[in-house]
Amino acid sequence: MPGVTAGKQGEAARPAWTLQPGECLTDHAWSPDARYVAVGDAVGRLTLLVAEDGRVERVFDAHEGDVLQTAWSPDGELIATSGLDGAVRAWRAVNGERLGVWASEGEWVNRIAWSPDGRHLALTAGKVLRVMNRRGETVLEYAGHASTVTALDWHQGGGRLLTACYRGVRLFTLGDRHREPRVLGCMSALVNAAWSPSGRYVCAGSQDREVHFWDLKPTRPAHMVMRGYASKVAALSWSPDSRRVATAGGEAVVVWRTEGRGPAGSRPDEHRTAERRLTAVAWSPDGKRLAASGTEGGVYIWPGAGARGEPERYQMEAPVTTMGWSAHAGLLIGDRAGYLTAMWCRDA
Amino acid sequence: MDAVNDDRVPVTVLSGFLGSGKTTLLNRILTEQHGKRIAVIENEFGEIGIDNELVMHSDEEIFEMNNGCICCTVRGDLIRILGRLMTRRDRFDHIMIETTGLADPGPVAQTFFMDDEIRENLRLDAIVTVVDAKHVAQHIGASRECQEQIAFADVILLNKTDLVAAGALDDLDEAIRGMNAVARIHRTQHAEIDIGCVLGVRAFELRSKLDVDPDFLKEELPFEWAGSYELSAGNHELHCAPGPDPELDVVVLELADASPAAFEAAKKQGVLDFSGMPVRIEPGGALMVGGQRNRLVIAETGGRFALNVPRTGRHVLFTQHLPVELDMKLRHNGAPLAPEEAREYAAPHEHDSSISSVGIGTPGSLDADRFESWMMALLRIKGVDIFRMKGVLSLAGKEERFVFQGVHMLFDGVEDRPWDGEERYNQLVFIGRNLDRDELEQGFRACLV
Repeated sequence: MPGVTAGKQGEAARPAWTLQPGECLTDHAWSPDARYVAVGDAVGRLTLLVAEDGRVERVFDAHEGDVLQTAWSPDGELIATSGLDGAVRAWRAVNGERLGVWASEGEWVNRIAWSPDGRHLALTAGKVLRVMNRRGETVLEYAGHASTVTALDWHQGGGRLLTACYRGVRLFTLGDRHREPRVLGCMSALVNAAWSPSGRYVCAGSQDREVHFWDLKPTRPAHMVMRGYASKVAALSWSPDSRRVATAGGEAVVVWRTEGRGPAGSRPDEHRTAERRLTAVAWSPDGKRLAASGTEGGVYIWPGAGARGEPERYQMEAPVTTMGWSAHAGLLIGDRAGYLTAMWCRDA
Repeated sequence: MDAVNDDRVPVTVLSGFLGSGKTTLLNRILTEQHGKRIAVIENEFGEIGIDNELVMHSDEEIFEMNNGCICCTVRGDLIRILGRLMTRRDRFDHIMIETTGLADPGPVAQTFFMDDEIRENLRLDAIVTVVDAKHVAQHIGASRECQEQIAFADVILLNKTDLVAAGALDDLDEAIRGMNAVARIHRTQHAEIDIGCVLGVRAFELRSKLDVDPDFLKEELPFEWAGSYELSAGNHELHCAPGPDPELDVVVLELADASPAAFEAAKKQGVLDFSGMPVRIEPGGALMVGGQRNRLVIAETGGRFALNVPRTGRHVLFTQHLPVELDMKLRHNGAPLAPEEAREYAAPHEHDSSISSVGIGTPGSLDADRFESWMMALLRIKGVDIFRMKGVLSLAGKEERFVFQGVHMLFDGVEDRPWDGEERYNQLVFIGRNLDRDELEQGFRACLV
């Protein structure tokens, strides 16, 4: 099968189709029902494909320059994209209708994310966070970040979101538009951050090879720092039960457990790979699998609830640039050469 | 990664104040037909006059690393933008980063050492600084940014030479070299220069030869004069009149014979001895022949010192200053002695700025562990003030030359080709602020086996 060369292939994942839509693939979004996939690339195109067989349904000229992010609204109706051109655009998924430019920031829009209830779209451009409703109105705007924002994540319970930048995570509450965000400070340049699904914890990876972890339950948030990574912590992913967080900064996936007093003082699970550096890590929505991929184009899937045991290995044509699970155990992988691969995982 | 197989994209950092000719150079590079496709990241606002799809703008964002060391910084914006450029890497052959005149080159350089994603995909080709000769002549003493940009550069374009008199230009050239002994300096008008001098320089490649004026390493000796004499065993006298310095360091060694080889051998030994602890000799006191660094204390009325020569034969005197400056005379039984041979060496450069280059060149081999300990302690304490370091070293027990370079506390070294019978020699250049030559030399020499 083109795009997937023979590696150690196991029982749990079956490569389904591989395409080469063209240029370096930058981001992707599964439809919530897992029937479609939207993929952005480095020449500004958005390609819509049918998940089952990889048939191209539509191609849009979405942006001038790279598509930075793609995001499918939780109700399945809208696809939003952001680009190097500073624009955020929206499309009706069912018929490809362009809904126009929702934002024009004059700066790269590095992150976009739909709120869990789909009523709001958050975006970050430079040091600005903007949250808009579906009518395109801004309901929250904040420009006080210490540096360009590197992470954006909604609390799964809704109504709250976080951003990360140099030396801190900021927690925002919708409806509190005049209140300053709560700042979780640290001495690192953060490159990503995410709420645990439970909303109790925040985990962030940094440029200087550390993971920062906050437990928000106590009156004063407990801040823990985990060190020892070989490289900047480029990727992290929470397990759906919030009991584990997988991180990667180098050739190994390091999984911390949140039980008891949290990861501080505990010994993590480490899963080595053959990648020089892992760039993506993702826990499947059902919690049954953990996937990781990296600079050598390798994709690893650990089956089983505890993510233990030997992974299955697949080899892509080029360094993996985007990777993510659908709601139904489909894994999409895009690489720098433009190859797109989908896999379906059988129940372990 | 070796040079032949390195397919990483080369990056040139172009620095200089607005008006220096930096933008002229950049525009020329972008328009000239040299067959290279160039992507540009500009920090100055909208300065580039060319419409180019691959021109990106960035606002400088400096991130301090979390190790408590204030010189360990990276440019967060460049990490992000260079990472983004990698999605289209087939569309260009070279990247230029145009920094502002006020930019600290330290974080830019360190970014290429410290971020793994960048190291995997990109290599720093050279830091090129364009300098307005007329402007810098007036400001070089006072402008810290100006000095730092010169200190960090691999290539310096001394531009607008048509506006400066030849003599002043030579002085400026010398002042710049005093700060940065390793950079290539080109004199230009209207930033006109062969592209090959600015792109494809490979300044950060670890090469087994330092691109330094060989005289810089050889001639910066701790003594200004050496004279050889035929001396008979017994007492001699050394007279000094008051002069520019109330002290004079002298080392006296026996020579094996009158050959040039013996002289060279003694000279190397003399350099080593000159970094030993000085022993103060008051007027009327006696100098020692052999490894002692005699520090003659010259009173306001001058000094007379005794020199006892154990064995008849050829000897050499190394003196910190020229004898003529102190009317120094060697006498035996009252009669003045003339040297058989005398050599003068250049005095170390005087500097207006606190930024200088210190070069150490000595034969021998280093104890690798001692050197590493010394270097790490030095960088920990002085890392902020040491901008660049380049060296080729001989390590005891290793067949290969060790080549390395560093920026602040970051250090990268590899084994190069074997010495193979070639004389083992160490070359080390520091470029930085408030460098203490004596301290660096002593510390380095303590690592020799």
